[in-house]
Amino acid sequence: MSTETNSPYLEDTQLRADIDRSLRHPVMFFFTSGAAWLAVSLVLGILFSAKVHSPGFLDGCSFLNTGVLYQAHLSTMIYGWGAQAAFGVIIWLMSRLSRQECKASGLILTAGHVWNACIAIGTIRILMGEGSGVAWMYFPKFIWPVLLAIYFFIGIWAVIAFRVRRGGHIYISQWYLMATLFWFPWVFISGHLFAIGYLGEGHEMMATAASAWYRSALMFLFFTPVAIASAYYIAPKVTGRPVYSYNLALFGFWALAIVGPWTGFQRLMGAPIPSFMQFLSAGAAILMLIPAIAVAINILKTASAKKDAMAHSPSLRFTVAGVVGLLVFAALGALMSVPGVMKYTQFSTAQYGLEITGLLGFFSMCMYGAIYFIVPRITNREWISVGLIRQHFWLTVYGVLFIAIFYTLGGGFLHGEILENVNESQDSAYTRLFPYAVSLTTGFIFILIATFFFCCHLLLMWLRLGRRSSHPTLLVRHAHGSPHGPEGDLDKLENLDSNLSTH
Amino acid sequence: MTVKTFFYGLIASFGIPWLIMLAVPFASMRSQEAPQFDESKDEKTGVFQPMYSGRRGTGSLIYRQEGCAVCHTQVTRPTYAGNDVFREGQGGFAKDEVRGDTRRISMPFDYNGEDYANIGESRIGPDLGNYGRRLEVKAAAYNKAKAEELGLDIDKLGEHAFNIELAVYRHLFDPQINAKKHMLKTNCPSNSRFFDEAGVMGQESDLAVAVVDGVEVVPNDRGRAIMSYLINLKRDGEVPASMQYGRDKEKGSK
Repeated sequence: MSTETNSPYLEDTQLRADIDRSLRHPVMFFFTSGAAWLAVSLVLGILFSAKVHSPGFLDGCSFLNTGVLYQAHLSTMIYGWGAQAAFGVIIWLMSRLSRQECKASGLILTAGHVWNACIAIGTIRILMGEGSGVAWMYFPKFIWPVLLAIYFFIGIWAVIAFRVRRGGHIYISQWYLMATLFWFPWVFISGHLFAIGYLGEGHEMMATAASAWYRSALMFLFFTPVAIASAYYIAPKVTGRPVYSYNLALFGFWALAIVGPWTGFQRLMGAPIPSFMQFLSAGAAILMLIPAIAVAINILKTASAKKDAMAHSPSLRFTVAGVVGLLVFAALGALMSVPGVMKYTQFSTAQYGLEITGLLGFFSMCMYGAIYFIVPRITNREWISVGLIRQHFWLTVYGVLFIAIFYTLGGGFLHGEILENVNESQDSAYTRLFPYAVSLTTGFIFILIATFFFCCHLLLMWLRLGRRSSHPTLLVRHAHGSPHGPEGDLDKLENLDSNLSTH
Repeated sequence: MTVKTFFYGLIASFGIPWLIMLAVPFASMRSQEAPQFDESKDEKTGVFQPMYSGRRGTGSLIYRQEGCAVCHTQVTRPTYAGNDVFREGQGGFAKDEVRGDTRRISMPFDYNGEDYANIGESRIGPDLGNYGRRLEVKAAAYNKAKAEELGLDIDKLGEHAFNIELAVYRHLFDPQINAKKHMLKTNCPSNSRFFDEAGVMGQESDLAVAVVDGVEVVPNDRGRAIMSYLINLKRDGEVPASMQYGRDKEKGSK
């Protein structure tokens, strides 16, 4: 009798364990190397911002030019950390939701190594002053086709898992993942064809316009859907409650799909491109509040159904912080797309601050949430230190808040105000910028320390030095029970398995 | 929602903005017609042909690769987007000694000859769209003052004349020294990678930015290209009246 009731549960747990085992190495590789690139990116970011407020800093190192530091910093953050964290989450989530083991982990791992080699070569070439110089596509021209080919090698397995999924139901996270797998190559190919000049003679102004669109599309149609997919998976899993509203999820998804591709050109407000593009994009950027609010309501309502889980579970805490980050990012983006406001923020510190707020305050927080959930499952070990997780969370939050409040908002408007005042000299603009540039450095230092803790923790987990326990690491002392449910009990499952086979 | 409907929805929601905002404007701007002079306003007819000089293609690429666009813009926005046109020297001069009111907003042809328009990310440093012309104006003022001081004709200043190329090289090599000399602040860092060291063979190079113990610092190929690009960034050429802020304003006030 008990065997009959236990059997489907055991089979299910066994399947999940097999999926996790099949993806252990590629997913851990993506997460760990991604986190290492994030640390590199933050070091480069600190050097960049330090040179903005202290121009004589490292003057003797001619290869550490302010401009190339900025390009290398953003490239490593986007393609080193962001893309790899997204790849890890995409392949794991899709396999889990489709209930399919990964049959090509070796291939994906190899592709991951090539991706990292490309990032390393590209970053060195940027620092040597041999990049393309095109915004968010700073690597040299020859890197991009290779990165695209690697993406296909990685992404195709997620598509195959979806095609041969078990069970008819398609989860909300799967819509987002399939959409991003569909959008990414289109965005990537069009951005590079139009902006980098693979199409031959184009118009130089439209090349710039294409790169403005590309960075927005990459943010809204690649990083955003992956982060939302992760949030839609983590919140119900950790709380054990269904998603608050399926219809709201559907609405949020289509709002993002419909509005997202129109944004980007507002960055070129006043530049000589057709003005309908500038204003349509500005309108779309304001409308991006709609999907952000829909997603935020759904996730926060789901998470608040079990408040103690939100307080104790690292995955849920990071995810909820990421969703709040999405709201802040969308609200700041909308505010800075109002033409009257854009006068001040278009060329001030605001735009870069906004990108960093989106990448670190929203996307990265959601990825951290997913990583804290996934890693114990694929390594079959629990996180070693509550303290490290707590430090990671709070230092990241402080860093992002510093950047969002002081650099993006404060600096954005006050630096912008002086730039708009034609009676003020460049001298005054520099004096005004100084404290905000210092706040950027401070924010990055906070996040770098957090990332250092995170990297060490992640590396130890990959080396399987985590706790062998059936209880997850919670952000509370003397925790009783597990908000993660029985899924964490793989050790117990192994024992049960061996017991069943002996009987 | 079936998988098929889902994908049709995705294709439509992405494809329509992709066509309207990217593909069609890309194709139409590629085949943009050259602006024409209007006899009633410009007192001449014919096709407007912008003139450029300097190492525009290479210089623009190096400018991008070195990330100059991170701190410097090259755009003068219309009044709906900002006050750029009123900032003296940015989009032209209200009272240019040679050409009168040259103020105007940026036009697509301003970036001809480059692969990519360096609109720029931020204004941590000044806008450089009209940098070359600003240098010329500065040089003219300096030469005039120097000629008066020395009691010479401007044309006969010789080595006392303002050397635009050397001024740019000095700024690139060490902007801080330059700024301190003029009691200014700048957050522009040194770009010493545009320079090489070479032993002094006979006479020192005219373009040496520093000489120490028989070794002079001279611009390398990339340095020469970026200098040529920068000093030729000008927005002072004659353009059809419809494109010029000052002349449009005069017309409006009549």
